[in-house]
Amino acid sequence: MVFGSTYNGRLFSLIVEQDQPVNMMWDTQSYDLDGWIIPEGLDEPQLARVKDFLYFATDTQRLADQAKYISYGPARKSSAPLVGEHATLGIDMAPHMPTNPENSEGAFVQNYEWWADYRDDLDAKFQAWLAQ
Amino acid sequence: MTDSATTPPSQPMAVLPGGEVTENGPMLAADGRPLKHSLNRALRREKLRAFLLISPLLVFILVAFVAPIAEMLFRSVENQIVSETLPRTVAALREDQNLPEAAPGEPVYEALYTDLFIAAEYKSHTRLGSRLNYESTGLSSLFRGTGRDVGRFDTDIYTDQFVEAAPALEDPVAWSNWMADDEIREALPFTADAWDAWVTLTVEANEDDPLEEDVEDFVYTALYRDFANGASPSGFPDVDVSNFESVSIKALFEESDEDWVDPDVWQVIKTYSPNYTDGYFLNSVDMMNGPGGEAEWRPESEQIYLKLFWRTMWMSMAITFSCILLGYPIAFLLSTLPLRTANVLMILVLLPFWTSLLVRTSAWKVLLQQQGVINDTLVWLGLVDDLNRLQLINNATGTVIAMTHILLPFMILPLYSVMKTIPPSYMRAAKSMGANDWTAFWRVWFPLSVPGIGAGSILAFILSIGYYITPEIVGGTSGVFISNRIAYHISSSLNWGLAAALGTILLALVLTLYWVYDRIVGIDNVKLGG
Repeated sequence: MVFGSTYNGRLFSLIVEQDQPVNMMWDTQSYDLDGWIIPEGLDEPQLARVKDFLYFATDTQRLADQAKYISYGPARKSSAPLVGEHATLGIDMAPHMPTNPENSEGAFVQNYEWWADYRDDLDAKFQAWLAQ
Repeated sequence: MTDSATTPPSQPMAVLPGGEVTENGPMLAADGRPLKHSLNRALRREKLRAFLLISPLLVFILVAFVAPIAEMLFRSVENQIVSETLPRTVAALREDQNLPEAAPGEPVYEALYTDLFIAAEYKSHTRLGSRLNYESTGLSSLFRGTGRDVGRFDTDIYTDQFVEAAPALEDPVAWSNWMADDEIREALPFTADAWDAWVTLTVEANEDDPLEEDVEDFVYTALYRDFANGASPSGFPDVDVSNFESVSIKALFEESDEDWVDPDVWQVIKTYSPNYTDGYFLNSVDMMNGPGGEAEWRPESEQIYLKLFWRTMWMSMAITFSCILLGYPIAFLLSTLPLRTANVLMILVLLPFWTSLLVRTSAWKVLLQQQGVINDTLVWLGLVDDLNRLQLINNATGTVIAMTHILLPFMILPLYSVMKTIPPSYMRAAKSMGANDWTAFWRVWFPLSVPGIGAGSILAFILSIGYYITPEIVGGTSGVFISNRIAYHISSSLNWGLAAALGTILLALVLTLYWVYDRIVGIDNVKLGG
């Protein structure tokens, strides 16, 4: 048995699309959040358009729709009941989402501060262990 | 040009085309100058022309090769970042008597407050944190976290109290006038230093006019220090600070992060405060500066570099040796076959040489993996059990196999060009004198081909000692070289100092081996051709 970790979207494609002998273990999944950034000093009409887009892109329905194409998110709790079927495969996507209540038990968010401190140290120890 | 046929040798005489003949004097050229001078001049001009011809290449090599290497090597000892980012703290630490038993006293924290405030404005404290984090895990977030807090320290009580006591102290224009007065500056050393730093900061980092900005809290904090030390300069508002409410900067730092009162943290800062450090080199040989400042071994669980250096050495030797074993017969064959056949075979040697390195390495991945061509064939032939396939890749074996293949042309080509020059008549002569095939080869041919082995070995060994791509792809964990760690520190961990120290050691090793080789074999005994 081989054990590994990677982005769940890739595993979804491996398991469901390519039907490979791989299984998912959601326990202690670590997740990361993406954000939108609005540059400072936009004039009013531009800012209005940007905000309009952000409302659109992050609203409940849109985040749920994203699940039609890839098994990431949805970041909004309200989107979860709206997650439907995959656009081409026609399977129910809810069990494949990382925020599905069953999957998100024991999930933790990436702690960048911790990694900034410990990454080099961890890597030195890991490499020394590998080289044994 | 002397004409010895017409003149006795005792009377040197020069006959030059179109020139005159002189007797007993220096030889003259056509223009009447001594020949020696003219020749020297011509030679000098020749040399100058040659130098001018190579000068573009020379400049290119100096700028693009020598200078970057020298700069990189310099990074292995360079450590200005601590004293540049925290100049006042480093100076105060030198005076401090508390370390290493206890955390330093208040003056160090007061200096650190000014330094860190300025560093946070320039955002250079994060880089310093990363640098010190190489030496002690946790310092990165310590500097980051307190860098965020330092602008909100409760030192504004000094500002408020000073301004209340003397409203003129709020005016930056008045400040700039006081700070132009040498007597006041001398009486208020901390204040003058903090003021200068604030002005530079305001102009450089914030691009504001200091005469229109509010003076920062750390200047008032420095002013309080000066007054508390008993300063009372004339021409400056006289403020009685004895009733001032005061705040311990040390306590503020401790509130921000309790690691700031940890003597070990301060010991690290103190150890790495000089401008030059041996820390990177110690790290390169699995050592470190201990808490007392003396070098000691790293814990066993972190030792890796000596092992990697040793592995790089012996695997490069194994690769060189297998190149000799495989390359010698081929070169022998090529040099003894008729030219037409040899040329065709030569293409077979050169074709892989011209193929991309990545393509060849990836091809070995296809061939060697457990489900790959070689294992499949062996299983099909029944030589290897299907459940027990050979582990040929992602280990030292994979690296030796793939690199031997890649470096083989570097062995064959010098061998071939040396063997090509061994006259076949030598072998015939040896045989005609009664030597059998083996004796003729071993006593005559082989010694003559040794310079080729020398050249090929140097090429293959030095190339393999710094190899990076192939071990990275096929080396797994037991087949990677020191260069892979260097690359990691250059591009991932960004610990360039350590990478530079590792590279310097590797360079020194290669030069030492070259010297040893010269001593044993003799570098004159190496031929690349002809």
